[in-house]
Amino acid sequence: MNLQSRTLESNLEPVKTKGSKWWQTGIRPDYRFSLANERTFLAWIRTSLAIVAGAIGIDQFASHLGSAQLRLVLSIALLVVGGTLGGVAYTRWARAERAMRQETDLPLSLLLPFLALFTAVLAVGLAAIIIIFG
Amino acid sequence: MQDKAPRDPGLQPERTGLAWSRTGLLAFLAATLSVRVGLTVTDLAHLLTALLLAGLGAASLRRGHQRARYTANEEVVTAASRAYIFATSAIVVIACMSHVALLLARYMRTH
Repeated sequence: MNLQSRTLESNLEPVKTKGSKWWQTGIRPDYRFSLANERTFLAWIRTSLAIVAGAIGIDQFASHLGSAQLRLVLSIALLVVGGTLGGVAYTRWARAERAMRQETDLPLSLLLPFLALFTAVLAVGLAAIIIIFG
Repeated sequence: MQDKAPRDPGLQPERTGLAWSRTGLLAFLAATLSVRVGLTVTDLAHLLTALLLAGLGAASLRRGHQRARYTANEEVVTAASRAYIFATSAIVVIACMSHVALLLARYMRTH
């Protein structure tokens, strides 16, 4: 299948009607690109849900870890990051979809370096807690 | 070729459908964990959060089923996708916020 021709073929929507929402303006992107964008969104949601599961895991299944305050702080930190990822997943999807409709460059997302940094800090922190509290 | 609803050789609809299903199963896992929190502290709000997450799980599995049967003749309409994607994102954010509130409330009660 020729990517270029499909994109042109599907260019049936009216271009930028004034006052309409962003998801009604511009061209209709190649459906494969839209589906790929949707899968990326879902991957972020799964990451977020896994972090939430980790937070509940610390709260429910790690009663010997550190102190009650420490477990509370860890759980809430995980929940805040999980919730942020879940919310930002939507804005990331919307920005990418909008860029595809307006045929501009895909936006840069700082989500990935942020998640990498958070995971590294969390892993080191947990290791320290386990070593200190035994 | 067009009238026979050609299948995508890259299997994009199937992959997207499976991504929804995986997300749905993980939402069920999160719901189950919330039920456990609700049972140990007998908090109705936790069980409501669990119900919300279970609803997300069921909706995601359904959406996965729809997506997997998608054919290249149809258009992916951003507005329709957006409704599902926004709802998914919102439920995850609400579930996180309610868990934070409930953990804090429980800590205040016990300390």
